[in-house]
Amino acid sequence: MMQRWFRDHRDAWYAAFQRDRHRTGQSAILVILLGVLLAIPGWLAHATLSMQQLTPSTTESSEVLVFLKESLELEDRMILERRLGAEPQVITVAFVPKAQALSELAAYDGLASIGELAEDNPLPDAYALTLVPAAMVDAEQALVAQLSQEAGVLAVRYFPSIQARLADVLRVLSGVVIALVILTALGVSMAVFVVSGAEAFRDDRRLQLYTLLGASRRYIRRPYLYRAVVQGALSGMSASLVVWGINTVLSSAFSTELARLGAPNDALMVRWEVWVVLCVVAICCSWIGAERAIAMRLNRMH
Amino acid sequence: MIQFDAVGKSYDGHHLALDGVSFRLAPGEMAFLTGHSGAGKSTILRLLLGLEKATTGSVRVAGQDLSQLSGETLARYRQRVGTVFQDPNLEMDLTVFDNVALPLRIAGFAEKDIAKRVNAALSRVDLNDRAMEKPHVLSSGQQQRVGIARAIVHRPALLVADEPTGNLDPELSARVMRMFTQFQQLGVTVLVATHEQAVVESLPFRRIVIERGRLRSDGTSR
Repeated sequence: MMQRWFRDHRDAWYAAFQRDRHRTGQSAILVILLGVLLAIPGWLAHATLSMQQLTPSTTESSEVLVFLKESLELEDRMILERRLGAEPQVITVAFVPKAQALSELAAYDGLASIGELAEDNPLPDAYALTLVPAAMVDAEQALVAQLSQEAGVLAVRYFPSIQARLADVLRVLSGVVIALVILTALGVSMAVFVVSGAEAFRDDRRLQLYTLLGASRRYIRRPYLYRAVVQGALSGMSASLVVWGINTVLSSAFSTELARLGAPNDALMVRWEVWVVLCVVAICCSWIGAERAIAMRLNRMH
Repeated sequence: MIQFDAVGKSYDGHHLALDGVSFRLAPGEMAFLTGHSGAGKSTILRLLLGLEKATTGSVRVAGQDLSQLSGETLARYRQRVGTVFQDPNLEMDLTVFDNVALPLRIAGFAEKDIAKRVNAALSRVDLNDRAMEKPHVLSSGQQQRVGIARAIVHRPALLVADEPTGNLDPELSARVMRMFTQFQQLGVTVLVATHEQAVVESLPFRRIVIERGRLRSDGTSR
């Protein structure tokens, strides 16, 4: 039984490549095309993972400026200050009187004349808050929204840290990567489906012969599926090489900027997860495409 | 062995390829299925090979209703039938030996048995010395004999041939027919579809004539 199993599979592997040996050029073009197609979400996934690695290497905090209403009494301001200090995301609370704000503004080049408005200062008093580094951007935005609702608050300005901005970009990018992976997977499956369908059409007589000789569908499909697996694996590897190539070029072009961000040396390397996922996605999609094409051809024959 | 009972076959609900065809073939019997092109001979063979299902009536082989078979059971049924075509449809990448061995490999025979049976089948068609050659170096008559060896290598109880002499000269046709006669004498049920009257009339076997999807006559040619 085992001997038969091994022989059937050995014969299928042999048939897969024996039949395809006249079409290596066509197979190579397909592998390269699929590789390039898969490299698009592959590189985006790599970029997303690399950006996630960059985030913890910086220690900048987000800042919030809470402008107060003119009418706010001192007692109410003190209550608000205590409440701000009690917020778990807030590290420091600094009161910025409107006179200080005016003098700081006047210190900017070309704005010296503003200092003359001291008697009729249009700026409000404010609290400058420093937030916990690496806090989640969602939590920070929720805090800003909550502060905007406070009775004595005139307006709130939020200055997200690099981490917060990166986290925001990463969230969008992750969605784009997932959507692109799905689209690419469909594209790869369709491409293999079309190629395998054409191949099955060309092999019509062979499919008929094997059917008449009593071969099961599983037996008939096997060589096509094995070839699809190899094509998928090669496409995945090609995609990984393309990702590695793009990454190498971009890393050297932006080395200074990346160093300034404090990127660790290994943040720029293509991670093994990307290689594995690319190969697995390519193999699965290639398998599905070939399986559907041959099954449809066999269904049409009978 | 073969039992067609009021078999009808229509395509797309309109075109009637077979209409109430009934005949029986006993085990070890040989018969010709004749009729003009498009008469329904190929449809009968396709029904017999399980490639189509009868629209009405039933097709039984060795008591088994073919319409009840599907998937693996249908594949196993086909492993017990030998088929010969006008075009032998050989795998050009494989040697003559491997072409003949195909049905045995599909059916899961052991390599030792395969070698023994393939050699026996090739000697029966006088092609033992060409076993390791590729089919493209053989003449069309030799290729047809490879096809016949492939059809009998697993010692089927039923041998079905569709225009097996269509591409051959009269001498080779006669030789192929002699082979079928020998298989019949060994107990194989043989059904040969052909429109070549000369072939049919040269041999004393039953003749089932199909015309426009109906059975026109059923009797011996001599």
